Amino acid sequence: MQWSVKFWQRETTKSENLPRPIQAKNPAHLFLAAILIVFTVTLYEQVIAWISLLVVCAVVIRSAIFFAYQKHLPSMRTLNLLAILSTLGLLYSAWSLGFLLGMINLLVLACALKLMQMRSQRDFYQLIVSTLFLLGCGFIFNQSISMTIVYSVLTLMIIVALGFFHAPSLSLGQQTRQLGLLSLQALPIGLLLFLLLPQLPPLWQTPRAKTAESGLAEKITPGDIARLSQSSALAFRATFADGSPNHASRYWRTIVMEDFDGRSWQVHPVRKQQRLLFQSMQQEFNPVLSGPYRDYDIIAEATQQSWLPALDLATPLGAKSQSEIWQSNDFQLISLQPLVSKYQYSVRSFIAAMPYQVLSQFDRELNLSVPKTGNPRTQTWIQDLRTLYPQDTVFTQALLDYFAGQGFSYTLRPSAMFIDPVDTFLFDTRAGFCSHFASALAYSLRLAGIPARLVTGYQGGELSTKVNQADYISVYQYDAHAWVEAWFAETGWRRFDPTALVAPDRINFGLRQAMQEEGSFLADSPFSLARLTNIAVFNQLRLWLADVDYNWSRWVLGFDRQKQQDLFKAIVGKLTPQRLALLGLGIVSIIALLLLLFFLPHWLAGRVSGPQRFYLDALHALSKVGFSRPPWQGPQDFNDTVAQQFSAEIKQPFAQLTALYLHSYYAKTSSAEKETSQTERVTRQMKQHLRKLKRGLRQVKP
Amino acid sequence: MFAQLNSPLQVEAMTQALLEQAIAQSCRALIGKQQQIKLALTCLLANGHLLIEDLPGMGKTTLSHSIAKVLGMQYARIQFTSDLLPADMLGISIFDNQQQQFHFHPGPIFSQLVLADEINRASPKTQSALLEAMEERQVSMDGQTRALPSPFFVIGTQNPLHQAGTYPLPESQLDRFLMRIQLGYPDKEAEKAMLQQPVNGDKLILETVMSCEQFIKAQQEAMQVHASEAVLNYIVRLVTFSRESQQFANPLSPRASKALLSAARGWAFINKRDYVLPEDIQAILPAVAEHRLRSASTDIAAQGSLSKILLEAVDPLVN
Amino acid sequence: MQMLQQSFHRWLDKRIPAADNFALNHKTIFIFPAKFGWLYLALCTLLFLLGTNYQNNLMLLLCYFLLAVFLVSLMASYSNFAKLTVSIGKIHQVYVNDDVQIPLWLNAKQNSSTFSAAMHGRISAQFMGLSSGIDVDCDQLTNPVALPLPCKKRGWHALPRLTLSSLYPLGLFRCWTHLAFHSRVLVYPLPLVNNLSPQHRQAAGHDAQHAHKHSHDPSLQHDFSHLKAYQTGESLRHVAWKQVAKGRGMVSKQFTGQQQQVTWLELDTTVELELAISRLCFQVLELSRFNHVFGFVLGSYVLDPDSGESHRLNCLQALASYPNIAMVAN
Repeated sequence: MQWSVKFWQRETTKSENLPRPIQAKNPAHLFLAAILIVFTVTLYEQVIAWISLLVVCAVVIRSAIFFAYQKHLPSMRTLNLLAILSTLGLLYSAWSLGFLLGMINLLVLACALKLMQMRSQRDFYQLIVSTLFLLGCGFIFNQSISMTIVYSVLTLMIIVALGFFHAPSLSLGQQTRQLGLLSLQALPIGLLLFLLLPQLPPLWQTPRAKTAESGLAEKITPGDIARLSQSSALAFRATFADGSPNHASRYWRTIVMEDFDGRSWQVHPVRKQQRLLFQSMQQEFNPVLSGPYRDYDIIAEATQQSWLPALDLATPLGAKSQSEIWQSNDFQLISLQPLVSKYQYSVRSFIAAMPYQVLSQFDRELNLSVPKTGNPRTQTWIQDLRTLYPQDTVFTQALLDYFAGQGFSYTLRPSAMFIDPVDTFLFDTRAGFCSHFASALAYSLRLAGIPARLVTGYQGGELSTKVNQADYISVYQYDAHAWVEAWFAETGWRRFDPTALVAPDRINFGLRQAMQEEGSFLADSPFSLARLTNIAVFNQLRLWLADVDYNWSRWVLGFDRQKQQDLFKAIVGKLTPQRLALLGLGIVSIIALLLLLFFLPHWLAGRVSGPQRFYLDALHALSKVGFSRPPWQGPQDFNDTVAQQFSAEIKQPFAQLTALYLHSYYAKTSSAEKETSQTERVTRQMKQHLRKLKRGLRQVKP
Repeated sequence: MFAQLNSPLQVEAMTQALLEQAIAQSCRALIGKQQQIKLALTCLLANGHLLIEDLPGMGKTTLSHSIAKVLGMQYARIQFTSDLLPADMLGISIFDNQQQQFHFHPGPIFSQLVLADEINRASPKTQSALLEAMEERQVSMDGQTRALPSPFFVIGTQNPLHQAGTYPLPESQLDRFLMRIQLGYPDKEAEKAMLQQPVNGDKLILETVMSCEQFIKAQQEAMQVHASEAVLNYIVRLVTFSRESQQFANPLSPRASKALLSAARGWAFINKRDYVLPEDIQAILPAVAEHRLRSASTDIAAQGSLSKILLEAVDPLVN
Repeated sequence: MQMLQQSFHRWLDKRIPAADNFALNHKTIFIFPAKFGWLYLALCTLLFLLGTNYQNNLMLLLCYFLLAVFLVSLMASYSNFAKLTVSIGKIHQVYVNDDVQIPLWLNAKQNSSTFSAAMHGRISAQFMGLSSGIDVDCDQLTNPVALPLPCKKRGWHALPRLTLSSLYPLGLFRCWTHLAFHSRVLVYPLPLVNNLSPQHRQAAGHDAQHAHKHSHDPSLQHDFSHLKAYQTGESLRHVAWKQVAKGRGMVSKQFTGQQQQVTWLELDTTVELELAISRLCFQVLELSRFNHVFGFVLGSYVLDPDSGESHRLNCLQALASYPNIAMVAN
């Protein structure tokens, strides 16, 4: 007998717990690639060129795999080799970069490699987290509105990428709709957290990025500020709660320079040492404060330097500013941290306190020192003049008269002066920029034995007044200026601005006015909006952008502990622990409420609405008196059974309810315009009948 | 405007009145079987074929005959026997000596309403020829395709399976009939009324109530009956239940769900409604679904009540 | 450990009792941050520290936004998962060592009308205690979804708990559930190839050699007795084709010897029980394949000689559930 043999036995498959592999053709990968490349572009200054190149490679590889030009990922061995090589390369170049930039470059590098290698779910998640972290780091360098928008879009793209990863077959439209909604829901909660979670002071010293300093330099050779005056970049903005000073008195002192070598002025090295010494001893300089004052806030742009501009004799205001700003002996405000990003501080300026200050011997010596040699013509001229006018004030007036009367001119294009620059300026060219005038004046005063120093900073600024917001002044780099401070026994430090004598427009109206004839205002950037102020539309646009940027800086970037506390006070009044606890409780419940609100529709979706609800209510009411519908019975059949069982008080309203329900739920709906009014009518009628039915049923109950 | 809006409704009402008359007329011939007659008409309205399954002498032939008469359809009856050949039914081409060419003599199937009597007596070959004609609504013979008249309905009658000498229709073919109804014995009253009926000569004379064109129009109107989303959901839930439940070996196919919907529309139309209610589906479900379902258990007793199981498992109101 | 697992199962049985179908709700759904969720929280902490140290409000905003997304996605993933309804379809019988494909009917749409009422994302389904499972994409769902369950032992088995989990929308939270179903799987014993053993031949009362040779067509050995209407399920070999050709309908030939030529299948008590059952199973299958009429004795359970599909199924059921055959009757 031949039995046919069958193979029943089957090998059982053993599955191991391998990391879950991912599909190669998921749009999420393309999104990640796009995010990485856009991010690298936004940090083109910070990311090393060859790492950017690696990012491009990774993106190309990913895209090739996605569009199926290429089937295989680069092998693990290749990638490991690449990783080792590039880490070595990074170590080599990171030496000069410092910690922060080094870390960011390392992260970008790691992301690029991960993008090339991504095979499993875990890889994907790691890449997502690193990219999100990188985005956060991006905010260290870019804080403008436009960049914030770019980064927000990138963040949303990451969320969409996550969505694609978990629901690969949804279309892009569906995906963005779902996740956009989710993000919209998250946004108010995030904002609430931001506004109301306590802002903490820095927990520890953080590494700073080494980047080129911008703005004023610590050393100027006359003519340097001319370079700065070609820039329309913002320097800082000052907000005046109650009235702003007029244009001519807006001298924003920023750097005091006391060391002159015959050509250039710079911050005196001895002064720097003195400051370091005092700082280590915690001995802050306390100027004598008296007289009228003015309070204002300043938001300074990132300069990578510590100098902070302020008017006249200024002292930091408020606990935060006081703890972060050092008052220097030359009446200067210096931030303890270099300004890596926008920095907001509050200042109180005493307009007339200068005469009360004392001049120490140390200061006098510092401000009288002149190089022994050089500028011989000036030296002899001053000697002659001094013998003519031995009195300090008269001498100074004579000096100023010379500037006013000898045909000096103000220009943004001074000719170069290499040998004995002061001589050349005073007696030959007689045309120069503010630093030429200031330098010549200060040097002359010192030669005459009057303590004098050069102060650089900004003069003027664009005032913006609006009804509903405090006045603010935008000061741009082209407002950079230099002037002189001289010491007289009677009046103390006095400000002298020789430029004002030559080009009063510069002081009263600003550089734009002063340079109208010469046409050299922002000559290097012909398309700058600041240059196109003659065209009304452009000027308005420029002012509007400035406004937006100001508010952004002030309210978003500048939201700090102080503002937060003001907010708390506005909400709960006095800040007692109980009230704060209550506030915390309130926040939590508001967030919970928001979450509930967002998902109420989802939960209600399962429930019924409109006519059906009334009908079901009616069924429920009937079942309460022990008459329930068999779960499979249709509404009309049930109506018939009800009609057989009950008296008219019950069966009539129920029949009406059934009819309305059937009509609204099963019948063809008429045209859309009628619909709303009709539904309302149906709802009203059903309500009535339901009430009648319940009344009828109440009599049935024992 | 008002008249315009009303006119289709009036036409509809007219057709519905005609149908009511047709039912009344048929009831005269088949006393006490109003439900079955309505189902049969519903089936025709839904443009489907009808299978009547019952013992001999229950009035299967009378039913089909009276429907044909009332609706004014051209009627043919084919008595299926085991030796019936496809050609006997479809027709045959005969060589005409005078004209020296083949002449097609159409068979009885070229009628608007065909009664295929005792369909399970015919050989499978003839059965399949009939079922093919039912499905395609055309006949292919000698390389030529001939369309069947329109409307074209087949009312098949079948003896229950346990009768001797039958070839039961395969399950796959049963699906082609939109409905299967059983006539059953009349109740006492009806039977008495039937006996009391005066006999005019040999046959009861029925009036023709509507023309073929009117009936086609009625069909079109019936398929315009509104089926709300709730109704569609109910059908889907019924069909899905038959697929998910372990109680049915043969679940309902998508064709069956289409059949359910069109039959429900027809039923609603006959009941003078322009929208479908769950009750409509419940009314036609036994006729439409019973012959398509097969019980998973071998217990014969369960076979008869499958559609009941299905109906009672699904709540029409829950969404 | 064992204790812990047991008490966990007891707790589960109380919380999610077995049912025929489930619409997931707050009672059945568990939700907890996934691994990625924790990683994400760590990222948020890092961003917070960095943002605070740099006094960078935008970084803090990003951090809080991500935190808010975390919160919202908790609700989103729950309400997404809660749209799922699950039931188990018809389970087919299998032999030992085969995988039975358990048909899952997943319904991912609440109302089938709006997009937002539908469930999205992938669901992974696996049986509790098994390492492998399958992934189902809810947006491309075709019911039923077959989930393999390896069967190692014969008999009636309750389904292990079904674990469904979803990471949608962002993978921050894992929603899962352990569902118990009333359905049971019947696993037939593994058929093992063997010859009919001697006692069967004796039971048949015929010359073994003879029986073997002609077992393919029993009718050859017997005398024709009469014709009878053909019944579905009867072998086509028995149809009297001549009669059919004459148009007398399908009739089948009946043979006198057929009733007496009955094989009785019995359990071989000389070998190990499982082996004997496997062999018996094979014999049942083979005899059924050739439409033999055979009787079946298994312990106290006796099936009268018969043939056909239902007889075969009864035998197999008895074999599968031996020695608790009583369960078959239920």
